[in-house]
Amino acid sequence: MRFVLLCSLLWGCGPRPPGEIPVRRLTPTEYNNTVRDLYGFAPDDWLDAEHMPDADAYEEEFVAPWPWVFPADVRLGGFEGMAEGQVVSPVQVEQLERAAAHFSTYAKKSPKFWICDAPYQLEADVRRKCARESAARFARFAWRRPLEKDEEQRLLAAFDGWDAEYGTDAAVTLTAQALLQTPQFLYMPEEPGPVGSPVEDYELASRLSYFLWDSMPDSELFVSAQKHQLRNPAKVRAQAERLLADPRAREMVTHFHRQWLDLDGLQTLRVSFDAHGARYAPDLVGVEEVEAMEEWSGVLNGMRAAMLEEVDLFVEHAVFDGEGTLDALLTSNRGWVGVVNEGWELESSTTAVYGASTPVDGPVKRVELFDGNYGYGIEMRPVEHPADQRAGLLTLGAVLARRAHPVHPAPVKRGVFALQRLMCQELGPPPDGAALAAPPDVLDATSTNRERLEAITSAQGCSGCHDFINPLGFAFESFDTLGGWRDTDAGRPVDDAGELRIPGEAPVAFDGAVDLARHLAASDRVRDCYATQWARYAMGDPEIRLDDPRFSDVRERFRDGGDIRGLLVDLVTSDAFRLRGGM
Amino acid sequence: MNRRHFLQALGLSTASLSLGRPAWSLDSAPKRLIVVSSTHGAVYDGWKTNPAGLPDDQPWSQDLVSAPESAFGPALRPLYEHRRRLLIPDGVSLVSAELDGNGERHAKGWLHAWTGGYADFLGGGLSATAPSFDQLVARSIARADRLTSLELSVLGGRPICHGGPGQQLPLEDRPERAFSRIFGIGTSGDPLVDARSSVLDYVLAEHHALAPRLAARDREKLDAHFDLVRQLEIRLSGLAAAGCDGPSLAPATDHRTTFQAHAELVAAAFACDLTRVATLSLGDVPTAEFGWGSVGSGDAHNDFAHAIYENPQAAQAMIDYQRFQAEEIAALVRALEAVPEGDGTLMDHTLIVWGNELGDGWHGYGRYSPVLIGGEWFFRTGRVVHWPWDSVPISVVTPYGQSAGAGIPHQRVLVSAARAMGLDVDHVGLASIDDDSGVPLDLRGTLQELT
Repeated sequence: MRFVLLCSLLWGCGPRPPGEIPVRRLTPTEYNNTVRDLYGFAPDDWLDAEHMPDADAYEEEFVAPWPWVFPADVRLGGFEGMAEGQVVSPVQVEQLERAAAHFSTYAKKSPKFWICDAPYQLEADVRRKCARESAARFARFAWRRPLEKDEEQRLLAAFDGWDAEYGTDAAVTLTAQALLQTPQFLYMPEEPGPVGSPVEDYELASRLSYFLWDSMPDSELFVSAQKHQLRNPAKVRAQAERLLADPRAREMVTHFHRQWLDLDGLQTLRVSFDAHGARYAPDLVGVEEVEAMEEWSGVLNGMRAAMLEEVDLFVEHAVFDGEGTLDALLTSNRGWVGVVNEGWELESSTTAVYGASTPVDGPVKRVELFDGNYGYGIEMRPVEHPADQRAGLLTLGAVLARRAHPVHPAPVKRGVFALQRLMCQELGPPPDGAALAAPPDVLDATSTNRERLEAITSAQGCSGCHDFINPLGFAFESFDTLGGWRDTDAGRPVDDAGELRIPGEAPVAFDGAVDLARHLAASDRVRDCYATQWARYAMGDPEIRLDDPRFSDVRERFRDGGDIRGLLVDLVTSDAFRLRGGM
Repeated sequence: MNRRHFLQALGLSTASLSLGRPAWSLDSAPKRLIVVSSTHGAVYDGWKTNPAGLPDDQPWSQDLVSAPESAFGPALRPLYEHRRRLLIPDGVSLVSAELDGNGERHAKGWLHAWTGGYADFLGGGLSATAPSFDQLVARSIARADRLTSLELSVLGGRPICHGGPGQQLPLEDRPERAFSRIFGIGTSGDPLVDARSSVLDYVLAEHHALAPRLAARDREKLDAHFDLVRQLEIRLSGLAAAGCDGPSLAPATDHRTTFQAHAELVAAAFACDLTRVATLSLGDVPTAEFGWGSVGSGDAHNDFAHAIYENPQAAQAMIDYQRFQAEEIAALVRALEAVPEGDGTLMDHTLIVWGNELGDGWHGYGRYSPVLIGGEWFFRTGRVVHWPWDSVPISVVTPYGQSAGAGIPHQRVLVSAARAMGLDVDHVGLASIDDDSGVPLDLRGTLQELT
């Protein structure tokens, strides 16, 4: 088996000191959240026509006033926000300029902008003076720190110039437009200093809030920075616990897990109607072909949206409302069935995926979605998945369907995923021809999916990797392409037993996905891997290794109990997080 | 002192700086590209142009210059007057869209048609995995000190321009706002437009002040970003300095007048070399505008597009729908021909690529109907070139059923057009795609029959 270390795109595989990574830019998520918190608007405020500079235009162009849709960050190790993956393009710069122009028009309406009451009832001169001071305060929030004297002078000089030429209102708008494009806003620049010395107070406040909230610090965090309290690790711990109790932390944690599980590709998978239509869209069977194919697309879109939403709800519940442990993530059989029920002409739901699941008490969540053409609503109803069939994240529909062929499930993809994302076992690319050697994904197969794959991968030169990959994939053979339970394949009972071989741990036999999940949840390697990916995400550094000595205490504590929020607090109180050079 | 004051101090206003249009000799005139994207495909029987009545199941090419107007498919007849510049590839397909995973077929079709790449479902909508053709060309031929490209839409035409994966570019529907972006820098009277350069001046000054305080690796990363901001600023000042007066626009109230205003903007922007690439994304034409307002609800999509094979009236309506847009494009060609350049006109240095998101109103990707106009320096125009509809052996399930063949992948038309624009590429978007049985289909290379 070939083991390949993660190498960054920019630096190649050459040595660089751990922690020596370039300044981070805000991710699209962080940018939008920062604008939201900087302005103090609730999501609906953006839609309020009172704030809209040009309501018709946005309706016509299918563009919501917030958030701004930016090009996605290049992902390294599966995650956005990795400092070395943030290569900027001319299009991005133009988009940043347009986004700044767009959001700047809201500045004078923002409840957080003016330092004086009722500015529009003031005399022009008084209002100008107030606007000028407000702009200076706005800059401190936008830059997440106090301005140096020369910085403030330049800002006020620019304000005065625009004020003189275009008037006070325009000067407010232009100042906001300018600030939203400065490096201090778009990046998280930090003062250089000796490696191992504490980062500046305000810099640590931003590190904390951007990790735990994907957004800027709030006023309490600013105050603790101003009072130098964050130099005390106990205060950092207290702040982290406070931040984790805020809804913004829930969004951040679900956002992390979508990336960890690599779910973005779910929507582009093809699912064969001939193979799966009868089960998942029985109403379409016998319908004239053109119409059936068209509606099948719609049914699948609804199902996938509901499955993705289920992952978010599952993660949020496991981390914040349930036990809060990795064990719960990997073994809880809590679930949500989604029913598309509004603004949608088609019957679409995940009830056929989760036929054996039983409803449980709990809030029903309604989600509004837009598929590029139509908006629709999904009702997410809490259920308990059968404990002998499903356990944890790995048996959720979204995770299973993400790795499947149109007709048959894809054990190789499912196995590679488990190795890479749960065990941090990097595999090299498959050898040339491996993809062509894969068994054809056809309807009329006479052997089982497992038999066909075993026949091909047992060849010399294949088994080295596939001995690790296949058993992990076969564990999920009881789930079809869309993640629905199946007892048989090609007319025979499904064989989902195998031997789990975790690098560095003794092989252990398992019988099916539920048993596998139990073993994975008990593995130190899996806990280390999960903790390490959080460390990479926290530091913006995809090269942090599984045995990185800077995080050995963090891993040790996480092995004992697997408390996820505890892990996040441990990460931000670690020296690597609080000190320069990540030491 | 800002630029305007600076110029005023020199005794010049930006208006009096009007340097006139650049004087090109025929050879030195830059090549321009216009992408026109319309909706709902074609009614093939009303689009096909086959003067000699040659068989559909054979490849052939025919001269259009000597053909009578009546030989043109009724949908294309308005382009008869420009037949010398016309090149019709007949037998092309959007087969890669058919082979892409599920997704709304219009949205997926636009992405494939103009990026040549897969659609990706990200953040609640379909997004691109590759730059669109216009951006690919613009990146290669744009001037550093001018607009890289113009993205315009008519009555809510879809955003078909993409800078790269997930980088959808907004389109401008309103001619007066497009005018201020192209011709109004520094003179529009709208501070948000006029002050863009001074905003960027401030931003660059802050970067300049911050950079020396940072570690070398941080400085390097910020420099890369703010060099691009500087380039953006250079484009804005270049536009302000070009001193080109825009056209006076008639009010745009419907599809036709909005298209005409955009066409004039494009012609004027090309004439002053303010940009070299423009996209016109056409939204649905309201039925009243093409003579069918008394039938149905006013929405061509729901009233007619889906019914073209079962209802002859619907088919006729959709032929008229496309013909209406052919009239608009014929007028665009006339506008470009009205601007002398070198020994000829602007149109002699322009290539127009007209395409769709679908083959037909039935959401099929099979019978794609692209039209090339101009580009005579590269293409052998004045012809229709035909391939049978199943000329490429491939296994694919389509709305018409299982198929063993498809038309020429449209990517190869884009590759040919890219070569015409001087790009050294052998593929646009995907280089190959697997069919339903896993056999790769090559999407590379130009179509020799077109040149």
